[in-house]
Amino acid sequence: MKRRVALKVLAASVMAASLPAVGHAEGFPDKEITLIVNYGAGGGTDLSARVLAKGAEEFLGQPIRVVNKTGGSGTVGPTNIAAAEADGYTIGIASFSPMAVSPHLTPVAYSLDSFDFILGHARYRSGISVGKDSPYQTIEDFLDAARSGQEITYAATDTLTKIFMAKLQQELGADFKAVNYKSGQESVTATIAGVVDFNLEGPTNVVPQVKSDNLRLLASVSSVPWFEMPDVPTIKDAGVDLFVESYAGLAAPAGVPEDRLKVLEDAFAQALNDPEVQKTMSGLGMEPAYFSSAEYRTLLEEGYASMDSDLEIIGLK
Amino acid sequence: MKLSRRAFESCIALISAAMPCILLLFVFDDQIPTSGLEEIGPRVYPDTLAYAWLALSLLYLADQWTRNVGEPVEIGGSAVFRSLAIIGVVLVGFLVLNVAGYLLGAVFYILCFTWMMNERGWAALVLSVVTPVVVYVALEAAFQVRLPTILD
Amino acid sequence: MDAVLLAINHVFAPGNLIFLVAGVFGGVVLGAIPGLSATMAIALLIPFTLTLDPVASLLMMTGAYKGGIFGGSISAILMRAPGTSAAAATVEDGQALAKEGKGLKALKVSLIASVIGDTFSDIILIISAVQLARVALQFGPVEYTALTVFALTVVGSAAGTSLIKGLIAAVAGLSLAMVGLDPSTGIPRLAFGEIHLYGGVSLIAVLIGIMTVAELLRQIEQRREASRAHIPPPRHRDDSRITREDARLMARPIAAGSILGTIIGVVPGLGPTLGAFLGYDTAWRIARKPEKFGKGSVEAIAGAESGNNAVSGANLIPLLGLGIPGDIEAAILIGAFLIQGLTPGPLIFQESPDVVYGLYVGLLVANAVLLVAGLLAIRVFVRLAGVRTGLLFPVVFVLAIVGTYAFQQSLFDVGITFFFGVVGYLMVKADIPRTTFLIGFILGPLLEDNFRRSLELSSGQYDIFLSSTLGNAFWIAAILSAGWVFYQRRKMRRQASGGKQ
Repeated sequence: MKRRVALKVLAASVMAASLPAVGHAEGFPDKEITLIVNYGAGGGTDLSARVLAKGAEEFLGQPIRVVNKTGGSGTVGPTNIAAAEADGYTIGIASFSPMAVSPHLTPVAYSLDSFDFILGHARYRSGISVGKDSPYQTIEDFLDAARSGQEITYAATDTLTKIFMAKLQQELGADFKAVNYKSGQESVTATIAGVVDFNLEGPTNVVPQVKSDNLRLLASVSSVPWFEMPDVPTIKDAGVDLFVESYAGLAAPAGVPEDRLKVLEDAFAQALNDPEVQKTMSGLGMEPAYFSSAEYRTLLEEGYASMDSDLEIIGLK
Repeated sequence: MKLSRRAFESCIALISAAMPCILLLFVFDDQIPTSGLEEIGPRVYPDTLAYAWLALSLLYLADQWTRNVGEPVEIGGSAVFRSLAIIGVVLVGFLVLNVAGYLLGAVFYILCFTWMMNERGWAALVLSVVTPVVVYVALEAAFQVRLPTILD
Repeated sequence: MDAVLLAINHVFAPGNLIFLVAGVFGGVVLGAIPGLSATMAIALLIPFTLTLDPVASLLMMTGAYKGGIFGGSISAILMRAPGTSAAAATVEDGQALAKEGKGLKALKVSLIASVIGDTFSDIILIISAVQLARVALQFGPVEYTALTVFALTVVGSAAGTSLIKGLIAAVAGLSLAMVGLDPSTGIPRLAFGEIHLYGGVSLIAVLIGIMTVAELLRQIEQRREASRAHIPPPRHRDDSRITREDARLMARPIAAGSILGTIIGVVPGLGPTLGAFLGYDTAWRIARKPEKFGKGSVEAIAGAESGNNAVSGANLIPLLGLGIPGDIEAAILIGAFLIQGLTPGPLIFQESPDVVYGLYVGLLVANAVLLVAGLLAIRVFVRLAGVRTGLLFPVVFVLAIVGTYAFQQSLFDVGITFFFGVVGYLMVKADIPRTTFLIGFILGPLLEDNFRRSLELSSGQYDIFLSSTLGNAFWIAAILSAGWVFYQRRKMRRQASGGKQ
């Protein structure tokens, strides 16, 4: 999987490089571009978007202004993108959750058809991590305990991981008890303090704590191991055929002229390929992952469709 | 019109008691989605709060009713009129803000309020034009925040 | 030792010092303008962290944070319009002093208390970050629930005339905080289908509405005669400075506020607003002149202002000691750490001690800068506040709504501000304490999340709330605190009626 991503990034850059003087031919863009971020300034999504935008400015030859439109668990941003003029000068973050999950749960003023997708640029990963005094040393210990049916508590922060846990519970015959937290930081803190037995947060919050010896990562529950800790297996390696993943990508309002989209896609793909950009994103716990415009759309569409049955599992449908 | 302190405070207590009742009877059922799978229903906390609110309001009512202390309250005609006028200006201004953008809205507010505060000279006029423009330019320059104008 | 010298050099390198000074000054000015808050100042600084040296960007942010908390008090004192929610506790006494022509005195008390509170908590941070950080782990859901209830009884009893009214306001605030996402299902509730409410009601919008706009409406209503200066000029030299007597009064509340604020800062999620209110309340309980509270008490301002600023340094204790942010500002700082390739948490002491020591030195220098910046700023703002009310308040009104808009660039928030402006105006008429409502609104999510978590952990058994020693201590403290207030009120009432007969 990882290699595939690398190849794709490579392919994109080769493709982009073969286009002479990207975009400037037809005069797009000839003014500042606004990039709407659907989460607050200073978080992982926001910072990685800013890094990426900074990189893309170089290839677009125009400044990118990052605007945070927060709220509605990330749905306010896409609402604003969908409502903007489809001239390519307003784009924004269209992450997996507000695209594929939220529309099932809340009335929103957009659907997947309201957007033209530019590219997918990052993967959000999760993993099972426990406190340093936890009896579970390895993922096998954990799975054995879960199969024995004893009650194990975990800090739940979002719908996707809850669905994952519900599936895992069915598969193992386990008794997982969700305790709800609002942010990854809080749920990591609760794990360290021993309030809950484990959490499912991503590298942004977990890696620093593993390094400081407050947490132990048992397994990645994404399709790939965490590149920060390549020795820790995925849960699939441990014999459970499940994973949970989420993605961040960029979208423009539907109806942006094809050639302009191309200019944007190429510029951001090139930026994503920049080692500096990749390094900063990785440091933030975001895995740079390139998906072309079409691939990203498929990813979201499939995700959207599967949510119908998935949400039923946790009683939300 | 003069109201005894007891009557005035009782009115407040009753209005305060009415609010949790409205929430419990008409709002919560509609507006708090339940999934049915949780061990702890999503209504537990809201209901607890609403009942606490109700209980406190009734406690206050009883407290005020048993001892009538404090000055009577004067509810005058011109003061009410002035209050309503102010609220009216706020609402109309909000409409202007929404329809005609920030600059005109700000001009409207400053003109109305300076007028109501007996500040009716050229100073008010100048301020009503200069302030919005300065604020607009400053925000744009310093924070890259663009206020909506009539052009948007 | 070398590391410290190196750090001092680093901080005083001209480039870094400029960022520090700019951060503090910017924070003071932004904090003083209703609607533009310290959080916003920090968020606006984030893009700089992509390019700046780590120490420089951290210094700029913490400088802006400290400056912002103090700046909020300037407009609270001069115009009853707190620039930040942390300054709400200062409004009554600060304004009362200003009305007596003692605005500069009030501002200076506030500044001195802020700087001392800051310095105290910074020193605690420097001495014992790693050890104290473990305290944060003592607070599980049950402890948080009890602590929040305790805080609400304390704050509810401190403000206003009636304890019950205060508690009603607090519960109303808690109820408003329920609007938004349901913490367990993640589905919006009480939002009436309005997408702008899915994430809850914006704190800035409520703060500006209920404090600033309500106050402006009241001012506009009262002004029937020709407009004149809102704040009279000082009548005596002593009106503009801290006298020996003032200094004597300030000492105890500043000590209490600094300690309390530091403790609150160590516990993640509580924040400077609570620090201010608990500092105020404690100052009242140990005051030499408790009868002056609410009517222009130097002790009150000293307690509240040292209380809120002391939170800022202590907030970094869980951040450096455990990698856990104490509040939103500290969470933003974590982003700044990560983007610079640093590991938030104790590892940073080994990975890059230069950054830690640079931060330590910088914090102390920032306090000195705050003292200077504050002294300059209060002179300017006192002059501005001397403008005739008829001109001043309409302009402040416009600034307030612009600030609200700018925070999330949402006209919906402006509507919320107006709505709560009218609500606050009515609350003033009904003598319902607005500050308690505000603190209820701020603490609402903390209470609800932890209340529900406790029950989730116990499968719905309520006895879990009595299962923790620390939690029980808070329950007892809550009962004692409320009982003490009842007793005091009764005593005062008896004295008052005895005096009449």
